[in-house]
Formats: sequence, structure tokens, C-alpha cells
Amino acid sequence: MKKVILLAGGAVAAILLGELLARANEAYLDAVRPGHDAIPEILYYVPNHHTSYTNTPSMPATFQRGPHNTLGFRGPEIAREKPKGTYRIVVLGGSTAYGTRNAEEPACWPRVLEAELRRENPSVEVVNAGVPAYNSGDALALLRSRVFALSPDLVIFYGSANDTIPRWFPEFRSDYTHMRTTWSRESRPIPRRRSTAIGRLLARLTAPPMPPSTPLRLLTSRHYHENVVLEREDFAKTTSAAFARNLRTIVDAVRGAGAAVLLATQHFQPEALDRELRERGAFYRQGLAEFGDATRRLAAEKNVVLADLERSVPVVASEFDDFVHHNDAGARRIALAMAEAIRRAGLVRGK
Amino acid sequence: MRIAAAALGIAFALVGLSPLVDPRRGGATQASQPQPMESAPQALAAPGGFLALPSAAFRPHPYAVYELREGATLAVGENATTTIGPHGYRGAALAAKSANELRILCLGGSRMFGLELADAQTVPERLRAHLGAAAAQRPVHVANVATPGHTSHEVAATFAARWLDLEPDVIVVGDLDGDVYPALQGGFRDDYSHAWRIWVEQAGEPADATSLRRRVSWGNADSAQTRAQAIHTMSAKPYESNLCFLADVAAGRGIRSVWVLPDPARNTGEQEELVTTMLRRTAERIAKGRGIAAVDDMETQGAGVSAAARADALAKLLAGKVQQIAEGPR
Repeated sequence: MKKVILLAGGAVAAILLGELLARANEAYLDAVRPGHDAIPEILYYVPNHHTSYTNTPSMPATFQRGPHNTLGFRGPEIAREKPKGTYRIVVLGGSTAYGTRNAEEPACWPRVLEAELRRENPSVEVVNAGVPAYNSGDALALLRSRVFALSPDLVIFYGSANDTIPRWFPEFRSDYTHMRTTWSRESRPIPRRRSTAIGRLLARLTAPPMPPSTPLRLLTSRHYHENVVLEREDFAKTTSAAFARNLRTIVDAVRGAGAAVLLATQHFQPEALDRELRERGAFYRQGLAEFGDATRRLAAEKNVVLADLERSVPVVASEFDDFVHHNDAGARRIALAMAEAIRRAGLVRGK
Repeated sequence: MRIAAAALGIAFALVGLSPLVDPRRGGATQASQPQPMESAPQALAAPGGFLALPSAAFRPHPYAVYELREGATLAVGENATTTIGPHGYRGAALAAKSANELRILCLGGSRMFGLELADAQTVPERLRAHLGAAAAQRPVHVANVATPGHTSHEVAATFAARWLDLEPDVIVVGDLDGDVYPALQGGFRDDYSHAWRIWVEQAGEPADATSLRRRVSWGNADSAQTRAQAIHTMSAKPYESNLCFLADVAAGRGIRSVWVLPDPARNTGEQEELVTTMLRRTAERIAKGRGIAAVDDMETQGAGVSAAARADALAKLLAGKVQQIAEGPR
């Protein structure tokens, strides 16, 4: 009996000690390598036959990704059928809407916008339908295939930077299929999340090989030159016409569905373009200027609410994580600018 | 030593009992996807009939499941073939638009494409012939941008992403019963992912006569029982949404639309007819609500059973409607 008690006590002590050490190890890694225990990014995307890929539904929060609700949008669960009396805003865009540089979802600008607007009207709900690396063609496909089912009252489009990318791929097609491609994924184990640190450590040590950490772009994009001279030649042959067409289609379709539209120009840090992107910085400089002009022209022509963030929001280097992605402080600034544009247009009135 | 071994054993047991969070399905791993199955050949223009076409004539598309491959040759009708041009659609390529031109795009699936018809017999070609004879003072160009098997999802997607660039004055939307095929597959989903399989073109994939079925379809509704059950779970909501999208995007650019209201009798089978009737009512309601011109495919029943005769009769109806709306106020 004594032996059994000793054995059990020793086991408990060993487990507690192991847990303590594992927690210390995690705390150390958290400090020196943020995101070290993140679920591999690629698992946050799932192939789709109408949008090439989209956010994987029902994913837990990890560093700079998720949580995804059951509909595949970053944020809390929402009712698919819009509840009566709710003013539903849907945000379309790429990583700058999704918030890939915001570690926690509540810091992403769509959620900050929601909190800001709820001060006047508690029935406002903001759905973040941003998907990393989405361009205007992808966003339009998502709008048509999944967003209209949510019965939005207002659709915001923010994120023109990714439309620069198809312009340096060879054999340009205005539907971007010279760049975007289909992909699929074999069934694979989903990383197991465990409630104890020692469990997490052991799972990591004993887990089967993780899925390849292939970047999303390699799965969903065709190959490109990787040669800036050829890229420059291809870029020079293109214009912003496809972007302008997609934006116009978004406006017409959303209005036809009885909702309002807000177009926003991309807020970015011009000084960082050459430093971070080297030769491709010139592509983004020209692309963003053209896309901004196209957005302003369309907004004026169609009398669409415009948040001209590029021109009206100050550029504060410390609020950016790179040339175009905001950190939490920058996301807050974007949210306030969006809220201001919405208020000015009288779109969300207090109750 | 024994204590350490016991501790390790308990630790492993705890690890094993730790809650498993499956982000997708609530299990430990994603379930395997169903495998495609072969089925008996069907008439090409019937719902799902397009799946018997050779996959070599198509290629994967990230927004529309698949598209026609430039330069592909397809057998159409009896002893006839058609070749897809470098522009990606059947028939002659449209030239740069001239000032006075009346440009018509024909969108749709198998029937608008003319799977059973030689080039000169298709609805777009007959439409051009009827309009050309009636309106000699204005050059008329008609392009057949239909793709066999495309449903309202893919028709709307390709119109927005590609065909808008052709600057049409009028769009004719046919095959509004194309959604019968996904509607009668089991496990209905609004995005039709229950019917469409994602096709990924692998390097070195043989461009042989493998059917489109093996590439893009789960092929899980080949029994009458499955279809009978599927009819209770299907929804016309995505169809309605896609049609509204098509109508609104066209109207936003001042493009006139003419829709072909489907004839339920074209689709043999009780479930097929029922679904077609449901889709027809939906299309009719949207067209009425949005002021869209429509012609009724049921009116072509008198032309007989020949596909060519019915295509000509439909083209004649369309020509009358197109003339009417092209001359009216915008």
C-alpha cells in the first residue's frame, strides 16, 4: 500500500514538475519567438472552387490568425440569417482587412470599427470577410458566392495593394487566371491542441511530420519570373483596368442587392516601399497610385461613399508593421477613419 | 526508475486523453473526400450530360471550376466538330468594337453552347443570322461565350471576371436550368461544392480522353433514389442570388439582358422537371421585378424534337426581343 502511495505521489510530483518546466519553456519561447506555437498558417486556408481558396471555417485563434467562425470569417460567430434590426456591415479585402499583423482578433480594424459604431447604434455588426492575399477579383468572387447570403446593409472594400501582384506575372489576363490557380489538399491531420503545456510539448515531439509549411502563394498562384527585368516588362504592359472593372462590378452588384457601398483607398507607407520591396517597390508605387485614382474616379462617378485613407489619414511609421500592414495602433486609426466616413455619409444612425 | 516510468506512462495517458480540437469537423482528422464514380452515358444536353465530355477540351478555373481550353476540338452533333479559338470561346473572335455595332453575348451552358449542333446551327449563330437579315443598317456581332455544364454560379463568375471586357450591348442568358444538375446531387450546399470537385491540373497530366466527370464531379447522384431525396434539401437561393447579380451588374453598365425561361419538358425525369419548374418560376419572378426581357423556351416546342429546329426557333424569338430592346430607351 505504502509503495502504491509512493508511486502515485511520485508520479503526480513528476507530472507537476514536468508541467512547470514546460510552462517555463513556453514563457521563454513566447518572449524570444512570438508565434512559435502558432498553428501552421496554411491550415487557415481551404481550397474553394469559386474563389481558389478561402479562410478555413471554425479555426481557433493563433498568432496573427483566427479565430474563424463557422462561416469562415475572422471573428465571433454570427447568424447566417441577419437578425431583425441588425445593421450588418461586411468588409471585403485582403490581409489589410483580415489583420494579418494583429496578433489578436479584437485589435483588427473591422472589430474596432464595430465597437466604435456601436457607441451610437448597438445593433451594428461588422463581419470581417477579408482573406489574406485576396485581390479585387477574389473579393468579387467571395461577394457573389457567399457574402450576399448574409444580407449586408453596407459593404466596405479596402485593399487594392494585392492587385499589383498579377500585373508582374507573364501573359496577363484580366480575370487574373494567369496568376491565380486551383489547388487542393489531401486529407491531413490537424494539429492537436492540448490543454496542458506538457501535453503540447509531447505532442510536438511525437507528432507525425507536419504539413509542409508551403507559403499560400505557391499553392494558389502560378509561377512567375523571379526576374525583375522580365517582371518590369510585363508590368509595363498592364493597366488598372481590371481593378477598376472589378470595383465597378462590386458597386453595381451591392447596390442592386439594396445595400450601400463604401470604397476606401489603400493607406500605405511610401517611404517603406523601396526599402522593403526593392525593385518591386516601383510596381507598388505605380499600382497603388493608379488604383487610388481609379477608386476616386469611380466614387465620384457613381456617387459612392469614399474613405480616401491614402490622402486623409496621416502616415505614422510606428503604426505600420511593413509598407502596408498596420499594427494594433494603425488598425485603430483605420477604424476611426472608416467610422468617420460612415458617419459623414449618415449610413449608421443612432437609435 | 519505476517512479519515472510510471510518471511517464501517466503523462502519455494524459496527453492521449487531452481534448482534440478538429477545426473543421470535430474529429481528430479531416474525413477523406468521396471518390468520383463512373455512370452510364447520358445525352449530352441533359443535366449532367456534359460530364461525359473529354476533359482535354477544358482546363481548371479558380473562379468557375473549369473553362474551355483554347484550341480544343469537341465533337458536336453527328459527324461534326468545333474548335475553340484562341479567344477561349466557340466561333469567330470579336474584333474591336465599332461605333454603331450591336454586340450581343450569349451566356449559358450546354444548349447555348450547342453541344449537339454544328457551328452554323447553334442559337448564337442563328440569332446572328436572324438579326443580320432584319437590321442591315447596324452591324450585329454575336459571341457564343457559353460553356457546357456551367451553372448560374459559373455563368455569373465568368461574366463578371471576363466577358464584361467584350463590352456587350445585350446579353442573352440561356440554360437557366443548368442548376438542375447540382440541385439533384446529395448533400446540397449553396456554393455547389457538394457537386463540384476542385480540379487541379498536375504537371504532366495526360491530356487524354478522360471524362470531365473524373475531373470536376463527385458523381454521387446517379440513382433515382438519391435524386428523389436531394430535391427535399436543395435550395433555389444561390440561383436567385446569381441571377440578381447578373441582372444588376449588366444594368449598372447599361447592358440589356434577355433571359431564356427554361422549358421543364426539356429535362426528362420527374425530379428534373420539378426542379426546372422551380427554377423557371424564380427566374420569371426576378425578370419581372427587374424589368428584364424574357423569351419562353416552351414556345419553341412546336418546332419539333430536332435540336437544330428548336435552336432556330429560339433564336428567332430572341432576335425579336433583342430588336425590341435594342431600339428602346436605355
